[in-house]
Amino acid sequence: MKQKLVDKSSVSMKFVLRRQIPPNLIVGSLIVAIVIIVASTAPFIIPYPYDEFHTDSRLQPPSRSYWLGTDEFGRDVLSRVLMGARVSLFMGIFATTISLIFGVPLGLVAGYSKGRIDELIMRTMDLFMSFPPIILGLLILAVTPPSVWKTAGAVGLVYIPPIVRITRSVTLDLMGQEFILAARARGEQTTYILAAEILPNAWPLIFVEGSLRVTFAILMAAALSFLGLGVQPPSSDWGLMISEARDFLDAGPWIALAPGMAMCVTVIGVNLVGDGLRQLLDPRLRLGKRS
Amino acid sequence: MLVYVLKRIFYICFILVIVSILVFAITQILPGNVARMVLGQFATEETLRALEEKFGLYDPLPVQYWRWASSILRGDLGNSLIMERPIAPMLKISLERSVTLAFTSMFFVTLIGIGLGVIAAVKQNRAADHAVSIFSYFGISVPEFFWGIVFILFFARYLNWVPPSGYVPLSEGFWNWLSRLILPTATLTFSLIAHVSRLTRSSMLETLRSPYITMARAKGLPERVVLIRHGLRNALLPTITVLALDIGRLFGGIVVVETVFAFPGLGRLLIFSIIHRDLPIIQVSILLITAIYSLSNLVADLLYAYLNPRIRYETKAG
Repeated sequence: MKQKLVDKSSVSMKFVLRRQIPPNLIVGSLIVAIVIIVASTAPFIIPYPYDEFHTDSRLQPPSRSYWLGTDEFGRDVLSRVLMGARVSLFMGIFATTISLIFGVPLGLVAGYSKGRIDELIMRTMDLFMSFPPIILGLLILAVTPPSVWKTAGAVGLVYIPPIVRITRSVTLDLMGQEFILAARARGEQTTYILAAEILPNAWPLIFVEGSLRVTFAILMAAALSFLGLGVQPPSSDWGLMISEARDFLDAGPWIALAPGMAMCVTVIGVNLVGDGLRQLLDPRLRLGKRS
Repeated sequence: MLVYVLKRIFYICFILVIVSILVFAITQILPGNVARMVLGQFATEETLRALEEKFGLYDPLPVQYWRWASSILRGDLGNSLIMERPIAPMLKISLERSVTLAFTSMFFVTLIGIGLGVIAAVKQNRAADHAVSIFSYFGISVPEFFWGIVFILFFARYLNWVPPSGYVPLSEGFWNWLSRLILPTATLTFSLIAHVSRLTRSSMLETLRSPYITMARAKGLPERVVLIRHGLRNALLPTITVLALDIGRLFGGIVVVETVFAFPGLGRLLIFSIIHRDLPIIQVSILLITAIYSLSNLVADLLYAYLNPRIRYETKAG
């Protein structure tokens, strides 16, 4: 186990490239690239303003003027779905960034210091993890009125513990190695060792974990919006759109199906990227080892 | 083993105390207090003052906490603010419904998930394997609520096989009751199955490569016996771990699925109370969910230890 990690934790670019790039990474990157392009250009490519009411054409099925139909207010579903890509991606990326910003330093410190500080950090994480994830999110959102930032923040907080765990275990593995011992023997400062010696060697695993977390974050944010505790109307979040479309399943099933499909494609894309990265970078490659 | 279990139970109690403090603290953070919420925004200063007095909102916080926590320990869960009924019976009945949903879903997840995993492993890299992995990819990548809606559209609206949502008690006829359970169960099962089948596949593949499988085949045992007796038995350990991890996802799934199908269980009660700021219910149901979650994790760990002879907790307690 340790031996395995020695040669692969020092992933050099050459080493990465020598391996075959997994096909799912290629397909996934393509999908994600398209979603990102759509999300960033959405305001310019949408056929109608996403919140414009066309009162004379409510609940229209897909047609030439409304490619994905219209909703109960006569808003263009395609425009709303495209704008929704922004919210979803923002949620996924912002939430994961929060988890990383808090999780990585905590994990590094826990793994490096061992002893009492480690114990304190990890027990706190255990406390976080004694809630089912969505309940923790609900608890945070129950306290205050919802907003996009708060939802993303809540989702980010929920996923800190797994990041701390993975960072800590990588740090622990690295701690025993010569170059760390050498750095300590040279009398380097702790912050230097953590930031310049351990972090560069720990990033592949953290990166893989982070990319997989993005999908969890997108899905949970959507679920929270769906439950009415995330993004608020008239925003065009996919979870919210599906939730609003529930009352019109008979009259306009496309209102629910369009954002749902969009979410499917996005999440499958990010998942493929995460899996591909894992195959490329994770020397352990065992499913189910981590929570 | 006993020492380990006792330690874990003690730890769970400790967690619950902390969670109860957290949950209680929410009452303090929330803008406006309980009295204001009960009376609505048009209350006069006087009635407000009187009700605040009645709820004991002027006492020091530790006193208030103690009053709340000790009444819960005595089994008095208090009254719902919005529905103005005692919480305990409401909680009990919705818990029962959710538990039915959870157990049937878990049952099918285990059965179908392991089955699919084994098929995928045996037919490795053939059509069946790819079909299973595509199927599981869709399961993971699509949120439960969307599956729920697709199922409603297809099975309830289009095929008209089952009612789209709602719940009726068993006393109103078996089919009436069952038909409203099918779609929520199917949705939950479908969204949880992927992990189990993927993991069973990989651990089964690993097992099938080991020497004793070659040995069993060389002995001339029928393939079925080799796969099930020798292969599956040993491949199942990691699957149990992932089933335990899925309990957390199951809770999330239940909250969402109950909302989609208007199924009056614990999750729906919780969401209702959060949206209506019904604090007593929020507090009690979050405590209850945390307790169930911790206990089911403990059971999963014990089950794992029981099935895996390499783990004995006496030596590794803590």
